[in-house]
Amino acid sequence: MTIRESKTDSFALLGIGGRVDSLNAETLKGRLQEIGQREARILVDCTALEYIGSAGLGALLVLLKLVRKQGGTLRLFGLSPHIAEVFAIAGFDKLFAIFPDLESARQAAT
Amino acid sequence: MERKDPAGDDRSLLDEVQRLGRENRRLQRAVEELAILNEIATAINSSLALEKILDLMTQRCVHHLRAEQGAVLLLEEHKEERPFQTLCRVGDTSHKRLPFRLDDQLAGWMLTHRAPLLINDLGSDPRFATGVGDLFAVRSLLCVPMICKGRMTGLLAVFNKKSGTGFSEDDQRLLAIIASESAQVIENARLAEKEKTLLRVQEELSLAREIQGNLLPKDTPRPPGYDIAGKSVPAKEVGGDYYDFLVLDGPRLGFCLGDVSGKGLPAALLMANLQAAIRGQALSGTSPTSCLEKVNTLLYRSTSPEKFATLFFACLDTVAHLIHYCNAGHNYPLLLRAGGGTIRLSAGGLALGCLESFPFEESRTELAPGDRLIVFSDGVSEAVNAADEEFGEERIAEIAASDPGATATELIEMILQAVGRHAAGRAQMDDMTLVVIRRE
Repeated sequence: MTIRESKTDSFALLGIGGRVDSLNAETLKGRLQEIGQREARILVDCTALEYIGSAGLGALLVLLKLVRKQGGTLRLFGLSPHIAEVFAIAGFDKLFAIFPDLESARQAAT
Repeated sequence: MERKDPAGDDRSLLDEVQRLGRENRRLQRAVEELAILNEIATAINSSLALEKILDLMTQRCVHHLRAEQGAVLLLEEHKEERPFQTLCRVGDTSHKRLPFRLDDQLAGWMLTHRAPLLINDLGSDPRFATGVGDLFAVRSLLCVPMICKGRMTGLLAVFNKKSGTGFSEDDQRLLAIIASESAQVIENARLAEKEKTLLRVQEELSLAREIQGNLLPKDTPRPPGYDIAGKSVPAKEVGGDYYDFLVLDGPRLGFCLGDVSGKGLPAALLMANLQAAIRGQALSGTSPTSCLEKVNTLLYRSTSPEKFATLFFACLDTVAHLIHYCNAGHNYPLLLRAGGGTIRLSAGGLALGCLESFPFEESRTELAPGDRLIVFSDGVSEAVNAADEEFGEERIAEIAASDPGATATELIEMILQAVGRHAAGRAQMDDMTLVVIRRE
């Protein structure tokens, strides 16, 4: 699992890559909690995400709740068909704002 | 014949007396050291309890080396930050100002150099010139490493020699012998305590497993014209999967299969909570959606923000042969039609516990003779082999299609065996749970 953080325009850009399983989801949760407390506009790049299990989805859920509490924006983009299916099955596609790529995520109306 | 020089005779006699005196003191010192070592060896071998051994050893060192304070620090494996754990301190209570925390600098120095450290004027020692902090009341110190089978396992230290001269080379030699003689005894005691803790945890886990096993349905319902089976195989002692059968009203039978996020005990506790909530809400007359909406809110209020559960809940009318179902974020169950074709039951909504309220949808479908419904957890479909290739739901459907006459129990076993062959010895990563309903 890799976690990269950078900036683009007014968004914090977060890249999550590799496999997020129950063994490393706690690390991800810790990072996302920290980021969710200081950033209100976040784009999550899932292009390099290969696998995400339920514990990983739980970590993203924590981030979403933190951002919502601040009235902020959280957008995901670059989900592979397999990852998109994992989100859809859990109903997380109804919970998260999901976009095909960085451009569409950045320019979407708030 | 050469005459002896009487003065020379006196000198050599004096030398001899002095030599004997030194030898005598050395022997006396050696006898004392042996007595001390013997006393410590007897003391530490008299107990198996780690804390008692450390306490006895520190007390004896403080006493014999005439120090004001002593400490044993044991090195904790797999801990990069603060690898030392102070397990025992003995101090002279008359010196209230003595610091009771070993400075990290000292522990760090010992870890790097693994050699004895003798300082009789700490205030002016360049190695500890800065950041002495807590060590301000320490004038002199003597510290030796404890090494067991080539690995540094801890350190033994005494502080502030009571007589003015400070610690001597002899003190250092004695403390080093004590440390090396006791390192193995301490290590054995430490391993024995670890094993005891592990055994207790194992016992508690197997109790938890028994409790969880009792939460699963003991009897499988046998409504006329239906063949039903369920099975759950946790990956660890306890798991976050569960299934249940609920008798509703008349010919209506409720059944569900759920998967709580995460693994092990935390997941198992939440699973028990979910099961109780479902049993409390799934009363006669309630629809799957109203049941799940209430359970969702209950679960949301009683869990931490990253926890959620996926659940497939359905009511089967065994007379009208209708299934009303609501799928809260769970892997889509497969409905294999006897006449060919497979339907995935997806209607429902978000996994439970994510949002405080959520408007779930429900759907219904008819069961024709020979139709089979397979509900499973992702531990089955996502079981991976050595090449990280998932078992996949297609294989589940293929196995079912290969033997339309198999009973519900047989089909579950066939699927689990195929998963086992697929994983080919790779450890089970996630709980596996299956419910099969077959209309005869």
